[in-house]
Amino acid sequence: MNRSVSFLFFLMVLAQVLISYLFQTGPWCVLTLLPAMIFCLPTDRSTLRLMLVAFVSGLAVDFFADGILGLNAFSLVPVALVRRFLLVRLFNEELVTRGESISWRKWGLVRIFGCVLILTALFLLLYVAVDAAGERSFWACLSTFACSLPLDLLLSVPVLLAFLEK
Amino acid sequence: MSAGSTNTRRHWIDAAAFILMEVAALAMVGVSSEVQRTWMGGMAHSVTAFIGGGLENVGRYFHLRAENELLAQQNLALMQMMAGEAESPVLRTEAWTYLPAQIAKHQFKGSHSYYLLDKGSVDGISVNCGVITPRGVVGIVDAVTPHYSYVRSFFSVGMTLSVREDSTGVTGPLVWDGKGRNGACLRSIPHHIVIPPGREIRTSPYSGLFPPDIPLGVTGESRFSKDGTQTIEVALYEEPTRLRHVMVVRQTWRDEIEKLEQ
Repeated sequence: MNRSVSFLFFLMVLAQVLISYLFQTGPWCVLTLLPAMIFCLPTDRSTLRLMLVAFVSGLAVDFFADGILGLNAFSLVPVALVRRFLLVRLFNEELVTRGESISWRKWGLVRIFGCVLILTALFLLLYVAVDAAGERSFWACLSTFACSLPLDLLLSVPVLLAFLEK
Repeated sequence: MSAGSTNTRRHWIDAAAFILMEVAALAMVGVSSEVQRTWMGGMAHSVTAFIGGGLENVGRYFHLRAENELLAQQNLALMQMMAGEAESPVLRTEAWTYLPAQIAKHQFKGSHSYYLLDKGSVDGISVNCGVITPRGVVGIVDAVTPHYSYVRSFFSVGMTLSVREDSTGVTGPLVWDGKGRNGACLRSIPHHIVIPPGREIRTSPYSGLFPPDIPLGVTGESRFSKDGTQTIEVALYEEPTRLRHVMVVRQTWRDEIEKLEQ
């Protein structure tokens, strides 16, 4: 990661810690920037490196936001695992092999948000399932998922604007 | 190295790293939260039980043929023993009472193995009843509750059976060899008696616990012991871990015999 991306990523992790710490939404809503942050990392980064970044940043958020240690890391690592596959499928292979930047102008709003939507949904599925730990009903979990997904997409907008090229 | 093999290697590394990180994250979740730990423990047990149950079912399916043959043999033996008491599950000959039972649980661990049977004292089982199949001796009832019996397996240290070899008429004690699940040793056979390999060993008529002439196994190699007698290896017929149906036997007039012996 170049220096500006690393710094920006660090700031976003801090923002996520603050959001998790300050907005105690209870079991009905999960506010997260993390899947969008993973999506925005440079496209030429290997999956292994992305998973490591996801694991460490997830742990950092859990630790500093006083959450269940490992929960964010557990949910974010699969996001990092499938990102490359999604970029190839939804964008194209050259984007990954050449390490091109993702730009709004070239790829458009729908494709970028579609990708973030899938990554966020995957994150939320895992997060909500492990957080509920069999103590909450399927419908309660589905409500949490349905509440969180649109809010998280909204939260992703500033992240995408900060990271992606025009 | 070709690009294909490099890619494959990279995928394997990614997969291994992914599993490692997920396991580490789950372990941390388990450590930091009691609720999640309990849930994960339950999930792990469910998965283990599901896989174990599936394997057990597959195993049972493949053993059905052998199981059926065994049941047919038992049926034949029971029919031969019937003496006009068809309504009762308990069958009697003049000297022995037979009660069919099923194994509810078994454990083979170290030098002490046991079975739990689904019949107990209300069915007429008492301590020191023998447990047999048509192909061997299973063990001796050590304890009973109203509905279950605890059977000390023959494959336990300290269990001795009185057996006989037909061609020579010699009798001796048969004990577990302490190694496998179908090996035993016939001990204290006088040195001048020759029992070649392949001869059948049966229960002797002098046991108060088991009926005579139940086939147990065949003889193998013999060796001389330090006390000047022979020890003969015996390969048993019965496979103790596959048993499902057994018969509990009791000498019909045991109380009378014990009283007389006192």
